[in-house]
Formats: sequence, C-alpha cells, structure tokens
Amino acid sequence: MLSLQARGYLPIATATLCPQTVMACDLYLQRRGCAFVELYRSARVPLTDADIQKLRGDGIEHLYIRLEEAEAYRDYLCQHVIHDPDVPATVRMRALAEVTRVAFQDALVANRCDGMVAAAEQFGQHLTGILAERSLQFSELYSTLAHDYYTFTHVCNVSVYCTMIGQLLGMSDLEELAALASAALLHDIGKRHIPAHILNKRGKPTDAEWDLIRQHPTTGFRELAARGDLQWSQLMVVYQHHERLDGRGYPCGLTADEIDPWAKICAVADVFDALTCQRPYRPPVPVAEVCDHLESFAGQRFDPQVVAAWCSHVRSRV
Amino acid sequence: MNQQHPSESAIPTVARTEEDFFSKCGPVPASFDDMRRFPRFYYRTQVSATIYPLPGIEGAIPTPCTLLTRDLSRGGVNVLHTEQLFPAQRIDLVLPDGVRRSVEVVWCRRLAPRCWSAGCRFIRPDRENSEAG
Repeated sequence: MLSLQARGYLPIATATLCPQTVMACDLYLQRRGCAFVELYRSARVPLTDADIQKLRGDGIEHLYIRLEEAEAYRDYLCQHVIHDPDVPATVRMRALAEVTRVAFQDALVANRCDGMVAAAEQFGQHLTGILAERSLQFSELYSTLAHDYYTFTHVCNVSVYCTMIGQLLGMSDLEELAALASAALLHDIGKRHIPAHILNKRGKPTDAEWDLIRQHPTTGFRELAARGDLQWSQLMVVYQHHERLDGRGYPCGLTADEIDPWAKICAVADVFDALTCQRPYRPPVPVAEVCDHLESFAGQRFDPQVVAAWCSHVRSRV
Repeated sequence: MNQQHPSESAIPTVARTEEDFFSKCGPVPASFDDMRRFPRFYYRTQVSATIYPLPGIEGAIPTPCTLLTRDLSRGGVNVLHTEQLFPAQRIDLVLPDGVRRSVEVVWCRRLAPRCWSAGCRFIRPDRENSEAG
C-alpha cells in the first residue's frame, strides 16, 4: 500500500500549531491503526487552544496537509511563529525546522537542488537570528531537536550544532554564521542519490555499498559547485566533512592543514549528532559518552580546538 | 610514443620515489571485482596541460602547467599533479605527440605531500587540432 506521502499528504508537527490562528489549508488526521486520513479542520477555521491541547494530550504528534498546500503551511509558520518574538525560542526553533523540512521535502520530491539551496539559505538566516538572541541554552535546544536520524532531522541538527560551534569559536558575523548554517544543512545533499535501502540498512554495508556511500561528498560538491552562488568554505563543508586530520578520511585523504575550518566544525557536529540519535539498531549514546568519544579522537580524526570548544560547552550545560 | 622526462621540481613526490615510474608499460593489473568499463594501460609521461577553474567559481583563470600521466583507458586518464584538483574541473591536455584531449576531473586523492592523483574522463576528443589526426 502506498504511504500517505506517496498519496500526496505531508505530515506537519502539531507542536508547531498556534492557537487562534488560521491556516490557509485543510488539516487531516490519521487515526491509530487506520491507513487513511480524515479531514480534521477545514481551511480558515481557527484552531483553539483546547483543540491543540487535546491533540497533544491524545499523543497525536502529526497532522497532515495536502502536498500542494505546503507553501501555505510555510507562510503560516513564518508569519505566526518564526518571526514572532513573543513566541518562545524553542517553539520558533521547532517551527523553523518544520518549515525547512517541508521545503526540503518539496524540493526532494521534485528533485530540485535549487529549492534545497534556497531553503538552506533561509534556514541559516532564521537560525542565526534565533541563536543570536542567546535565550536558548544547549539543554533546551537539545530537547527541542528531534533525535531520530531521519536524513532531514540529522542535517537540521548538524546545522544547529555547527552554528553554535562557530559562535563558540568566536565567529560573530551573522552573515558568516548563516552561511555556515546553510552549508551544514546541505552537507549531505549528495546522499539523496544513494538508494534508501542502502542508507537505512541495519547491518554493515557491503564493499560496493560503501563505495557508493563514500561518493556522497563528491556528488554533493559537483552539484553545488556548478551553481556559483555558494562560498568556497560552504562547498568545502559538503566536500570535506568526512576528511580526518590524520589523512585517513574520504574522499581525498586530506591532512589537518588541508581541511577547511568549516569542514572541521561540520565533522564534529556530524559525528556528535549521529551518535546522539536513536538508530534502528541501537539506542542513542549519552551526550557525556559522545564527548568522551570525540575527545579520544581529537587530533587524530577531529580538530582538537573544535572538540574542546564543543565538549566543554556541552558538558557544562547538560 | 616518445616519453619525456620532466625536471625534478615538476615531478610529484610519488613519481620521484618510484624508481621504475617511467618504465612501467602494458596493462594495469585488475582485481576480480574491478567494475571499470575499459581496461587500463600504464601510460607514464609528462603532458602539458591547462587547468580550468570550476565552472561556478568567479574570477579564477585557467592555469597552464605540467602533469604526469599514470595510466590510460578508452574512458579516461589518471594524472598526477602537485596541487589538489577538484571534481568537475576541466583540463586540456597536450600529449607528447601533439594529440590534444579535454578531460574532466572525476575524483582526486592525496597520495603524499604535494602529490595528488586525479581520475579524469575524456569529454571531447578534439581530433581536428591533433597533429596525429
């Protein structure tokens, strides 16, 4: 049977809905055990606080909209949540992730690289805006982010961590931070050419599968380099985030001085998120253990300065 | 084909340390799981080249230089260079016998300090400019 997504429905997080606001799209609900969705609320009928509380109380984390109404949903979140300084930063952060997920999903379905780059740029700008307010602590942020390692969740988390690491290392220019954030959101763009059954494989990939997986930095780089609208360091985030200081990384086998500083940041954020996420074959690794892991490979795989900055920040706030 | 031996400074490290670098010839051994479309042959020589910047990078200009070739197939050529090359970069090669070929970098890997190996595929056989025809 076709998935809801294949039938033209897009899941949206109930956590991003605001009471007393009107969405310009119909909302659909999937009841437990039912393969189909039913109309929950017509467009332009406002959701009440009680509606939202009931949905959350019933454990309903997602409603659905028609795929063609994704734009209206994005507008709704931008207008009512992300740009509203009265909304708590955690909710805005969640809404931002949601908006970007929808835009990414949209672009992915249409196989439009342009759409992904545009969504990444917007994400970078909004994210740095929210993080610049300094009202979000790591622990809050960590609990806001999802940790399920779906590809979008992963790149979204990595982008947030990269921006925070950039700040910790003294990057203060908001445009520069936004560029780092959007590059991190695109760092795995080449993975969309890898078949899902290989990406989601539980066991160890075969040599041939590994060869395919190891091509994703190159594939992503080729795709983005041809555009001409990304900075060199942004391209290097995509191309070099699997390089290691000792020269045993891929795709080039670069050594410490040859790796771009932004790629070194992304490498740490990438592994941090990969280990702290729930995977089908293992539970999430506790944050303190992940820090131990990063520290044990500092100077060998990871840049010691990046690891020290990130781990000391994380340890002090968990 | 005439093989020219380049000056010491233009030779990437690996070619300097491999004593028989320029004398190797014949087919390149293939492993049982080799997925290549065409067999490769050792082709060790120095070639003149013009390396073009990536299509999307503004302001960079084509750079003339000298490269070493390692092997050759119907699909492409493997070259050694002292600088890193990037996927999608175009290189115009002038082989020792005057044959010109344009290639595109597919991958590039660091072998040693100032020694990069790049796998390139032919993109446009330019027979009319070739002395050998």
